[in-house]
Amino acid sequence: MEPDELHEAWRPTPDPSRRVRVWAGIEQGLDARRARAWWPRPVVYGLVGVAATLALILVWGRDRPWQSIDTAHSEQVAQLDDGSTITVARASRVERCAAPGQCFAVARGAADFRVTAQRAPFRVRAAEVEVRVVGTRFRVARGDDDVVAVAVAEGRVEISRGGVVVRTLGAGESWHSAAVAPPAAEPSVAQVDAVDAGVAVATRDAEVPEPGGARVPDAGATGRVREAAVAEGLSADALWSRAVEAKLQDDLELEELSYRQLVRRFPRDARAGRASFELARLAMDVQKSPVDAVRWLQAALARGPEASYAEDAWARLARAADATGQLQVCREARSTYLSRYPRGVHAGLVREACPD
Amino acid sequence: MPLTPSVEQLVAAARSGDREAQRALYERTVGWVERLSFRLMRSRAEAEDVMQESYLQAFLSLAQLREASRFEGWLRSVVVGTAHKRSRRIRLWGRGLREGLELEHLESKDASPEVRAELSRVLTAIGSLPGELRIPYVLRYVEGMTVPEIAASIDWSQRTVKRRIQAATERLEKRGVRHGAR
Repeated sequence: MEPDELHEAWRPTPDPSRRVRVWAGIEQGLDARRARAWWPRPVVYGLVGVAATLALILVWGRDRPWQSIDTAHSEQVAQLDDGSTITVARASRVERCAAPGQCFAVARGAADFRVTAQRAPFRVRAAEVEVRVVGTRFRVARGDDDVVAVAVAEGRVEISRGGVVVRTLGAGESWHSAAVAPPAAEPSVAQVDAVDAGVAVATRDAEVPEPGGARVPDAGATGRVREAAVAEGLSADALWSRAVEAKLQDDLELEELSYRQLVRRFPRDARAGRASFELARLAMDVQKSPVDAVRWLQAALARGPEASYAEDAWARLARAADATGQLQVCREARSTYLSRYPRGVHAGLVREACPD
Repeated sequence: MPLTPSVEQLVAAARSGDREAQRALYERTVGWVERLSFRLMRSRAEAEDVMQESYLQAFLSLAQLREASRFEGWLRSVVVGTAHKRSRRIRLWGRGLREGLELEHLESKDASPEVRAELSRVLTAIGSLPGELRIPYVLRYVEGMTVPEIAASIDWSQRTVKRRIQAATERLEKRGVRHGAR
């Protein structure tokens, strides 16, 4: 069939009521918009201005949190908003530092920290040492020679130097920086992967867990395995090209294998996030495995929170988590999506996910 | 306003919210907008939604149309953009992912039985394509749009449009559907 023939023959069945129905819907939409816009703009702008002024007054009038505490002959106790307390010893100085969650630096002397359980990490820095903790009681002391000592009274803490986790301490244990050789020169990224009973567990970024990894065929099972073996030697560029090509050819198995290898072998590649997202898409749409999809989506968003796929990823995460009954994950994804993309293409459907 | 106002006059009046002018623009264009929507979407309900959303968006953003005489071309871009957006949303939420077209709503009653049979075969094949391949293919080979026009309407690069049309063509050829270029 030639294009012109198709153009002529492919027409919707005539239905006069359809055009009336569609026009009624358009009018309804136009009326709704007009009803929302009846307030004159100067009035709206005036109200917005008043609200902004009030907000500024509230923000500036509020007590500003302290930025540093210096003590001389006696200790000082600081109470934080979250219920945690810091007891700054005599002749010491503790400063706030810029980092996500609560962050303090022991610039001089020592301080005792009693940290309530909280979601964001609580960090204490002293020289090149950082102590990260979720819910515990411990002391950090910094000597004049920058030797740092950490003693834990309750719970557990994780100690890192130069970004590398060097030790995890439990209750009753202590550590000091002079006892440990400086970290290797390679700047490795350490990240908190899981928090269990107040313990921050750190893993290095080199090994990437594969959600649903068991789905890759066993060696020798199919001809595709040979493809996988060959792909082991491919560069990230070649794997990416192969995945895209496989997608266009509807070769879903090769597409999945290529993305998996890219993520596993090149976790720091700029395309690893997109590859994780594509694996999530395959898990949802093809393999019908929302459990794997949730894991891949979380990996994709961790790699590229501002990436171009983030909008779709948050929406998919809400849906996949809803399907698996992970209501907390679903609600967080829904909330994140709606706050970031209130007019997003998926906003209407995301609102329907995991109803409260 | 004259008895048969020009498109420019109607657009000018519609910009100020004149409902009669908006209705007149709708009446003038609904024929091809309806066809285009049905060709781009897989079901009657989706096509009607695209028609409604497209007109609503067009009337609410008429201020963005610089030359009133280009209203129809601009409206076509709005329809294509809306269809693409909706297709993406449908795909994301898994509805109609592997479904074919609703043929009973698409076949022309005027066509001969042979043409209807052939049309049914071709449309079944086209309906099996995912939206990201089906939409550029239909725009190119059924609507006769150029690659730059398609790229501008969907907000893709021309290279992406070409690759997806090529991929769609190859898939259709595997199912025995061949097309000459328009």
